[in-house]
Order: sequence, then C-alpha cells, then structure tokens
Amino acid sequence: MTRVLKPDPYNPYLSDMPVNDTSTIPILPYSQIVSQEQIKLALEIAYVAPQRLGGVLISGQRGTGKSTAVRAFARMVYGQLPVTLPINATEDRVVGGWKIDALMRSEPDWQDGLLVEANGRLLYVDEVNLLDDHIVNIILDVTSTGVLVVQREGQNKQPERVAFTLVGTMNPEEGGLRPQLLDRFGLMVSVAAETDVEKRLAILQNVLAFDQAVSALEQTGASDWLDRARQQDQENLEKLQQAKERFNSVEVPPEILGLCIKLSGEFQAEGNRGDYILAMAAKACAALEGASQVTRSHLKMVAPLALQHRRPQMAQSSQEVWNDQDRETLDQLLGSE
Amino acid sequence: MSKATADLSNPLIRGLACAALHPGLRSILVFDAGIATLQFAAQNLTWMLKQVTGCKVVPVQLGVVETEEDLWGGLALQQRDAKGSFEWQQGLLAGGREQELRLVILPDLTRLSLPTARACVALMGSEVAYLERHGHRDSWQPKLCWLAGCSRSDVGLVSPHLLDRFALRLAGQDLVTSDRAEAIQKWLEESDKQDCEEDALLPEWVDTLQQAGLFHPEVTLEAQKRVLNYISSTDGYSARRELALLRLAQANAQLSEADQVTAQQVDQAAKMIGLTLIKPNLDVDPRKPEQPSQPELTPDPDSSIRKTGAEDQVLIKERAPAPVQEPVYASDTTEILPSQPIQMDSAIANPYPEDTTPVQREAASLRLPIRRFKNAVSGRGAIVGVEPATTPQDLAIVSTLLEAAKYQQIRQTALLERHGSARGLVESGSEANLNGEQFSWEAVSRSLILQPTDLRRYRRAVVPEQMLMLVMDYTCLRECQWQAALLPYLQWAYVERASLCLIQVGAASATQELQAEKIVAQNVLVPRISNGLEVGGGQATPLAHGLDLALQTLRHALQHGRSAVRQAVLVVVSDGRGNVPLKASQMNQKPEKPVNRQGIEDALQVAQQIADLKQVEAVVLNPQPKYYADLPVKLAQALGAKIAAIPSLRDWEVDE
Repeated sequence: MTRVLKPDPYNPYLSDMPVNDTSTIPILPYSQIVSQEQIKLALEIAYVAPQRLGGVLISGQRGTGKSTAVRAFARMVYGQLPVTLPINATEDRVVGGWKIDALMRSEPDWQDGLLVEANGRLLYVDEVNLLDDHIVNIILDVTSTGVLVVQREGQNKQPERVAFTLVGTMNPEEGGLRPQLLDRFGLMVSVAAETDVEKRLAILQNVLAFDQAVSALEQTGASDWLDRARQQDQENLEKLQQAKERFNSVEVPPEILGLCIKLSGEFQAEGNRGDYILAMAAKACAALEGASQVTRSHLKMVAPLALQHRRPQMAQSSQEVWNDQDRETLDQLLGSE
Repeated sequence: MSKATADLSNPLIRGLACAALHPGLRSILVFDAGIATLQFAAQNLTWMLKQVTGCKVVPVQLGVVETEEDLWGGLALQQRDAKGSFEWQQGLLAGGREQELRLVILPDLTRLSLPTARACVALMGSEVAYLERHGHRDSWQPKLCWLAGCSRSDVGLVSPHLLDRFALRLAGQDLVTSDRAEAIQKWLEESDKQDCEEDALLPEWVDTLQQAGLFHPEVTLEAQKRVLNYISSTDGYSARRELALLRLAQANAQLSEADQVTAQQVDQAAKMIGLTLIKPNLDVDPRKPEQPSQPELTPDPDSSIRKTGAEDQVLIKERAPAPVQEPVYASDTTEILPSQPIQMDSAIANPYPEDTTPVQREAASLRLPIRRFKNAVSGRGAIVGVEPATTPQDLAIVSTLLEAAKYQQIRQTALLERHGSARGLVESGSEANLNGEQFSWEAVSRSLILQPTDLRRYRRAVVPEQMLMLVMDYTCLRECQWQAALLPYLQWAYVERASLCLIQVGAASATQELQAEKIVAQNVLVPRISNGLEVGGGQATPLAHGLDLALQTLRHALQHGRSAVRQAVLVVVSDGRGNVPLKASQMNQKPEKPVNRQGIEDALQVAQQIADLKQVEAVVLNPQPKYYADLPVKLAQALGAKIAAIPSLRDWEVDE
C-alpha cells in the first residue's frame, strides 16, 4: 500500500515526518468501518476542532474495533499510522533520551521522545488503563501545561511547546483511569458491542471482504475493493478538511452557550472544562454537518461525549455512566427541535 | 505419539490445521490438555505452519518467569567485545516477522507472568506491534501464532480481556492410540532419531494442506447468517467470536476442498469447537436439521452444487471483492484421506467458559503491581521487570550497572576535565589531583562512576504478606449472629490485602462428610469465599480434621520456601464439639466404636500444635452453646487464643 493521500495543509509537521515501515501494513480502511458512529464522530470532532479540545478516550468492551478505528482514522488523515505509545514504553522513549550507541562512543546525541514526535498530530495510547503510572504522570504533566520540560540524565533542555491530540483506548474490565487523566480527554466514547443482527452481519461481511482484499493484494498486487475504499477515504478527508476550514465561521448563538452551562450543571460535570468542551465540540459537529450555526441537535449529539467522563459516577465505576435516564434528561433539557 | 492418532478427523488436529491455513485463527486455546497433548499439538502446528506458509517456524515457550526485558528486548553487553559496548538483544516476542513465524506456546494460561499476560494483550490479534524501550524503537507486523493450554475449571483466574484474544478454542482430549504396545514399540525405536522426526511427521498431509492453501471457497450469505445463530449477543459477546467461527468454517471448507462455505460447514465448524445453536435456524432451509448428522470431512464432491439463492449472490457480489482466480494444480500422487467423520463421541463443552465461571482473579489483573510492602527491604514477589529507584533497596544490580555503563566514557572525560585537561593527562601520562587523591587516566578509565539516576530496582508482583485463616464449624451457627462477628476480620483481610484460607467443617456441601474442606483464595474478594461462607450446616463435625488442615496450611504459608506471609490471623468459629476423630477423617472411614470424646480431644491436641506456631494470632468466636458451654473456652485455651462471644440471634430479635 502506498501513500496516496495529499498532505494535510493544517499540519506543518507532516512533511518532516519519516514514513516508517508500518505504512504497508493492511488496516481496514476508515470508510469501510461499519457502525461505531460515536467513535467516528468523536475522532472527526477532535480533528476539526482546535487541539485545545483535548483528546478522545474510547472505552469499550472487547472486540468492538476500537484500535482499528483509531488506526484507520490516522491513516486516512495523516497518511500513516498514528504515533503510538505502547504499554511497554520506558520513560526515555516517552520524553526523549540519549542514543545509546552514540553515547558509547562518547557522543551525546539526543533522541526526541514520542511526545515530541506526536507534536501537532495524534498520540495514540492503546490500553491506556494498563500504562505504567509513572508514564501516565508524564503525559498528564505535558497535556496540562502544553510544555515538555526535560531535566534528566544530565540533560537540561529548554522547555518545548508540544500539543497533540491524545487518543486512548481501553477495556474498562481491566480498571478505570484517574479523574485527572480522564479530564485531559476532551471527549469520551463508551462503545458497546453491536447487538443488532443486521449490523453484526454487515460487520462480518466487511471483515471477510477486507480479508479477501488483502489476500488479493498479496497475490496480484492490486485490489479493486481497497482502491475504492481508498477513494472513499480521500473523499472523507476532503470533507473533514472543509469542515476544519469552516470551523471558525460557525456561529454559536448565546442561547446555545447558556444551554452548555445548563447541561454541564445538570449533569454535575466536575471542573470548568465541561461547558467549554461541550460548546467547542458542538461547533465542530456543526462544521462537520455543513451548518452555519450550532443548534440544539448538535448539542444533543455531543453532550454524552463531552460530559459523561466528568460526572462523579465515573470515579466509582469505569463502566458506562450514560444510561437511558440520562438520555431522557438530555431530551427534556434540550426539548425537541 | 503415534502418527496413527493424528489424522484430520480428530477435532484438535483439524482445528490446528485450520489455524495454520487462516492467519485469523492463529491464537488457539486448548482446554484441559495434558502437557503431552499440548506438546504434540505444538509439534504438529509447527509442521503445519511450515507447510502452509513456507516460513521458518520458531517455537518459543513462555511461562511464569519472563520479565519485560525477556519479552520485548533490552540492552546487553556485546559478547567478545573488550570495550564493553552494548547491543540490542531482541526479546522473545519481538521476533516473528517477514520470513520467520514464531509459535508462542503458553503451557498454562493461569500461571502466566504478568509481563507475559500484558504482552499477549498488546500483541495478539494486533495488526501492528510497537516497541519503545531504552532508546530503542521499532514497529512491525507481528507474525506470531499462539498456542495456550488452560484448565476449564481455572479459567476464572484469567483476565477475560486476555481470553477474548484467543480466537480458536479447542478441547484437548487425549490423543490415545488403540494399540498401546505398538505405540511404545514405535516410540522406543524412534527415540534416537528424534531430530528428523519433525520432518518425517505425517507426510500424507503435505498434499492436503498445500492443496487446501490454494482453495479460496466463497462464503455464502446463508453461512454468514448461520454464524449469528451460534453466538449469543448477551454475556461476554464479542464480534471476534463470530469472526472466528466463520473463519474456522472457511478454513475447514478449504481442507474439504469445497468451493463454497455453506451453512452446513458452519455447523461443522461449530461442532468442532463445541458451540450449539442458541436459536432456531430461521435463515436457512427449514428442511435441514438444526444439528447436522455426523459430517464427512473428506473432499466433498457435492459441495459445488450447493448454490445459494440468486438474491444472496447479488448481495455477496456487492459486498465482496472479486475472488482471486488461481490455477489449482492436481498433485501427481493424489492420496485420498480415509473417509472418517470427526471423532466427537464425547460432548464438547462450551468454548467460552469465562462467561459462566465465577471470577477468581484480582480486579484489574493486568495492571502493573502497586507497592504494598510495609517493609521496603522485603521484595518477595516474583520479578516482573525493573524500574528507576531512589533508594538502594531491592536493587537490580545488573540493570543498575548497565544503566551506569552507558555513561561511563562521558562521565570519565567530564571528571578528568573538571580536574585538569583529560587530553593532557592522556598525552603526558601525568596524574590529576582529586579530593586529595592522585588519579591517573588509566585509574579513572578503569573505575565505574555511579550516579543516583542509575539506580534500578526490581518491579515485583504483588504477594500477600498477611493471611486470614478461617475455620468455620457450620454445625454450630444456627442460632448466632456469626456474620456480624466475622465482619471485622474480613474487613481486616480486605484492608491488608491478605490472602484467605477457609476451612469448612461440617458444611452441607461437603463431598466427604467425615472430612473438612479447604478453599484458598488470593484475597477476600474472590466470590468463592463469600459463597463458601454461606453453605449451611451438615451432620458430622470433623473439627479435628479442620484444625489439622489449618495447621498444615499455616505451616506451609509461614515456613515454606520463599513464602512472603509474615503474619496470620486464625479465626475459629466453633462450639468445640467435634464428633469425628482425626484418624476417622484421615482414613475417611466411619468409626465402628462409639467415639465418645475422641473428636474433642483430637481437636484440642491439634489446637495445641497450632499454639506453638509463631506469627499466628488466634481468636475463637464462641457461639455460646447451651450445652457444653465450656468447650469453646477449652479450645481457646489450647490454641492460646483470645475468645469473643457471638451474640445469639435471640438477642438480636430483642434488640430490634
């Protein structure tokens, strides 16, 4: 598979990035992912909105395609897989450290870590709840200040501004996240396994089709299915870029801002970030839909994403905290449009 | 193991062949397999993978001792290099790429080291693997095949998150030969030429597997719908299960050289792994039975005529890419496999026992351990890795030295520069003065300069340092508030993260009436403990046996090997009226003569032995029996225990 997507004009870092050898690894194309509308919406909002929105936390049961969705999105948007912080990462690879082989030759040669590499892009943490606490603390420090300060191993670097979209996936069966880290994620998606028979069937067919396409690619070097999917990805990307351009011109009426504050209060969102994020996410959602101003329906779409992980219940249980009653309350507060 | 046993009619062997054919099935969990069966399966799978992929297959066995460095890789001193430079040493799981396929064998999933379990979760079924450790970075497409064994009854000890990664579940029935004498004879003959056995193994499969690899049967819509009828979308549902079943049906159809994957092939695949229909078959032809008759697994001549409906065909064409047209060449020596049905005489149990088995693991069991040791010096848990340290306790010496070694040249130069020109020293061979001592360049270059940032200590698995031993005599609990009396001790066990041992004396659920039973758990939260507390009373009271079991367990926990238990709290809830002599319990024979006070005396005798144990704090909770009210006191005296009265249920009623 080759890179065919045009560079992202919003990302000045992209041109300098090395394309690693993962560029040929087959990943289900983003446009072909069945269902998982909430994951898609959250990722797209995080791309369209400014980076200060914060990242996306995707929490869900096993086998719901969380990692695939994130990788597919990054490949569509950035042309390659996301900068990934694995659970095996050591501190020197996260914040940066000396190149060992050069060090042995008495040549101190600094190697930037993943946080710098992800600057301006997406930093993906798979199984974020299994990450070493020490590494979590470093990420928290950097995401809350936007500055990476390295004072270790005899190195005293000038503080460096880093901004990345933190995307984490986790299975809540293996424990939750600390509230401080939860707060750094602008949006949270709780994914449940698809139970609708038609959708389950569509997922099966999709994966089968992808298996066959990969097999065809290996044997003949080409696959119509993948070419079509890539074309659709390209169209999706163009739409996203247009939405990003439109973002600043989308109007947020005062009534909507009032509703953001009201919703944040009603759902007991902790801290002040709840209403900010809600307003910004709704604005990005409107931009994605091509609307000129934010409406109640946009708020309704993004309210669970922006508020659920800021509620007190989340500290007690990492399982789904947005239930039918919350949906009803939201309907009542926003009324029908 | 004899070749005769290992043909493709065996569900285990056929399952392995399917895994070799389909990369999506290459994470296999074999239930209740003996070690010999697992070894045999690994040997066969190695051979099959070699045939199908043409890659070099390297088996790797993982167990209880692997650390993160072993699995992912780490820095190691270059051998035969006098300068002592480093090289990156690849970890066991970081191999398996391009032309090498790694078969990872996990003999017992319940005894996996924590780093191995975490690595499994990160790597199994993942499209891409990432490594970011100690200045080294790598990303690759992992080519790993996983084969694990697990006892069905212990599946509650394993994280469901990890279990979900295993696509293919097989039953590990013993592959026994009908003629043992012949098998032994063969084994004796073959023992000297074990090295060449692998290649000589089952050559009649070569053609079958290679042919099967060339087949790309079309998956019918009917088959896809059939899959949904086997997987419930309720408890523990994961889309991976449906995919696994469909892929198994696909690979099985390849083995059968069928043109299409039909609903019947899905039925066969479901039967191979022990799945049963969860709802009536509504989507396929109602004339077909729900459970097909014993399927034939030889190449099916009729398979090409089982067509799907026109509507289905249109749907499939819309969704699926055009199938790859490949020439299929017939082998010169066509060998027809014996027409044997899959051997499924014994009913195969549910392949997803984790949905119904009680949870026995700790919550969030894949997380790195939290430091709980009261005494920082006492690192007793298994080593699971290393981490930076600020105090010189439980130091990982080698890691500390390796960390320091990286900076030696720079530190030595910096040291000398601070006390005069290093270059000048080297050239003139003169000496520098450091803290009143003379240092030559040679002396400095031979010394190791250690700094606090180099310190590394072991990261260790959590081990309980405390133990709560509960001896519950269920025959005396009818009229007392024992739950309330017990609660403070259970709370203590929770707070201290103590391990727990429950000795059930006279329980209604006892399998042997004359014997006490022991339930051991890692902590008080394990559901078996709360279930075990509420079983109700039986007839006999083998108190002496219960105390004897407690004695043996306490001795083992406090004195055996590298056990970390430092303190045990023994809580005995009993009226002291043991009525089964110890000998009768040990022999499991009802005494012929009247026992009189033998059961009581034996219990007191064992209690005195427990009293001799140091580090055991004993408490007797007295249910205040109407008769023989002195017996609990005597028991407490023998144990050297404190005694506390359990309020009667009648008092409670009056209070309320």
